[in-house]
Amino acid sequence: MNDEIGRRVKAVVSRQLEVPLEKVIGEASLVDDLQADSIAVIELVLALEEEFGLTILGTGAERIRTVTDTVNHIATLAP
Amino acid sequence: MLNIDLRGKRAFIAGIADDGGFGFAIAKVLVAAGASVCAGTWPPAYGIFTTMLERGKMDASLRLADGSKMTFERIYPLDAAFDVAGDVPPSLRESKRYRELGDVSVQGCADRFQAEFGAQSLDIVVHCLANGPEVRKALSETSRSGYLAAVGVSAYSFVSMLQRFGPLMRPDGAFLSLSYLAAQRVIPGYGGGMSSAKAALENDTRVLADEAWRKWKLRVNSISAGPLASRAASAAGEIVRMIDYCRANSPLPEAITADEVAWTAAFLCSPYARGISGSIIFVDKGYNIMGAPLDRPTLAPSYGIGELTKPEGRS
Repeated sequence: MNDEIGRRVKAVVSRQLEVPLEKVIGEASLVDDLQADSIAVIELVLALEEEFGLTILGTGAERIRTVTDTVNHIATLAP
Repeated sequence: MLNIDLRGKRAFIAGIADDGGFGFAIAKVLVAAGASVCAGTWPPAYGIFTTMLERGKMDASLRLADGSKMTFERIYPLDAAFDVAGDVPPSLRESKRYRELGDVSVQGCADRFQAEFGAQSLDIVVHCLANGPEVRKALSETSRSGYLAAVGVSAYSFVSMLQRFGPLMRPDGAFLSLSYLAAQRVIPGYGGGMSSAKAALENDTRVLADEAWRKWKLRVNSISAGPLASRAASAAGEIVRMIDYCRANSPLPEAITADEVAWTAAFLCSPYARGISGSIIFVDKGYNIMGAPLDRPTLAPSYGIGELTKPEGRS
């Protein structure tokens, strides 16, 4: 199931942060590697909420650092 | 019973991007007093702010004392660094957070406002936006561009807004800005030309108070607010320690709240303040009047009246 979540997360990250999909690898740091500023991180979380139909803000999302963190966090929230 | 009644009034508050700052608190109080409120939001935060409102993530913050939920009549993207559309550099205009927002200049915002509500449709304008890209640098280390950016966005924007929104305002309207003690006293850490910008803002408040009454019958005032840990202030750094210091050293030994500033804003924008223009009103628990600290053991014996008046939290 995480593969499917991973694929969708990477697509959203690529679109939101305007980086090529091949750069969106698991260990990539959103801030350091993918150049997301603080606003971009919130925008990304809001876009992920829309993609997955979940409430993510306020669920500890501020601890997310990498793409893998993001996937794992969503996996814990997904029904 | 004396009540602030702003029914039938329309306000535009420039500088709301979340529910944690003075702008949001002022919006709530003005709505509670009966006004309709439009907001101006910095374009990079516009998408987040409007999405969070749409998704109900701010519902708790939007709740008024009577249980109803306030709404913004309109939210306009506004970048106060630019007076007209042509001032926005093409690279920024075409960037992701700007390209779908149209004309985000002060003039563009005023034009949209007029297109929707017509001329003479506005009673209150609140300017609560500021930015200094080098705010963490000491003034003596600030670059020319950083200094001018701070003064441009944080002070000239007030002049620009008065120029462009003044003609849309009904007589007896009120213009208000938010200042800070660093305009008048040295606050280490409030750097990058931000102190210069606030000094300009306060002087402009006086000059514009004279001009704006003669042109449009408007009053112009500024609130010098004590420190609040809003998102913007947190970006300037050291805000929590500054709040603690002010709490320990103010005649009223508490941190200010955004509501306290908002109540003063509502008063200043109401007919009850028709005798006040060109003033800088401190809402800071009295911190600005002090000439000696209260929390220093070295001074404690000289206070004399000591124990009886020593509030909790002071050593």
